[in-house]
Amino acid sequence: MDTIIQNESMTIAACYVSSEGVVLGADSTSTMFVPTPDGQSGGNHHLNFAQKVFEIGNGGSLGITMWGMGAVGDLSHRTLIARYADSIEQKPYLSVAEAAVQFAATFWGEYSRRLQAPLARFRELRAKPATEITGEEQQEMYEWQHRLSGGFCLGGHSSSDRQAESYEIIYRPDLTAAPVPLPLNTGSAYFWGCPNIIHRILYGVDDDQFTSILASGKWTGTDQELLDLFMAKRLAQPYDLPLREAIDWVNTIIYATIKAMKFSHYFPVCGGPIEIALISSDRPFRWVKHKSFDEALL
Amino acid sequence: MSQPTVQIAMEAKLDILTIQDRVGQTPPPKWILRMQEQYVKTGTISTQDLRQLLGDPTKRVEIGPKPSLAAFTGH
Repeated sequence: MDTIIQNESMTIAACYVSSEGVVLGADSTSTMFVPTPDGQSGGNHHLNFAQKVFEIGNGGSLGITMWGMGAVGDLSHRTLIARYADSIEQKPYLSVAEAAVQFAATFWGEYSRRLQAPLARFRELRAKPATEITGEEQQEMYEWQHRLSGGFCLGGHSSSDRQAESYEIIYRPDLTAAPVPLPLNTGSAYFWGCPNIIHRILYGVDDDQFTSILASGKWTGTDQELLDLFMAKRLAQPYDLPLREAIDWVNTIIYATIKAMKFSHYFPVCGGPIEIALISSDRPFRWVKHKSFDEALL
Repeated sequence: MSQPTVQIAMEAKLDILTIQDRVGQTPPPKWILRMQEQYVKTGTISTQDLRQLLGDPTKRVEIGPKPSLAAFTGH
């Protein structure tokens, strides 16, 4: 069977880990390459009604958001998450950490199996000595690295202690085993995909501008000294926002990024309805903002 | 408003106008122009440009008290 790799990528995902609960958010754009019938060319389409935040199961206390690949080969994220939810119904998790490890293992099984051919090609190219790899092969390796990378943020609480927690699960083609979930700090906000706008708003500089200054030859200090200069003037952030403010924060950064991309020379790789979910320590998963299934019927 | 206050406000406004003027005259970076040109020609954005636009999908941005250098330099 041929490996099916969707030419689809997804951008913004956000998480705020409050001591009261976890807020997950995402935009709805997926960028999809649609080839012409002869396969010789094609075009990027920015589809604005993808779903990137999911409840795990029905009435449970876990949620998940994702970025990177639009699907795992021919397996949709929706189906992957539904299968995982079925598995934890059979064998309940004791902690959010355990749930994240179980999900990472479930994902890794599908990722390694369904994307076996491109993963093997990536590893073959990566194993080539620098003196033997051609420019074209380097380019191909870079493409696979980008297309096969991404991540999930799984958060919620367990019934054992009701402690709100969230874990980041990052996958890359150079991994040889299931990714290890990393805990996110309580009281902080996290953002994946398209960080340039939020960097500019909070810090006054994004990575492109920052590296341009360093590369200009006009900065004589160290990298860290330049960063310290910007950080001294940054917009300081409050620690551990109340839940409703955390929801506002997540909505604000996603909204600001979407609009800044729209009204600029950048391409609109973010957009569509913003979706936000909440898993407070005293309740199961709840939607704050969720698009209906007729949303795309304009 | 007293005379010195008015003068400070006017100078500040002039400074902002000068900055706006300079920003308006600065062309977009070369990679943006390249990306736009390729998009017009082929309808696609190259992987490198998409990566530059979206950032590294394996790197998070933590909005906390002290951002790390890695968030800006990628290393």
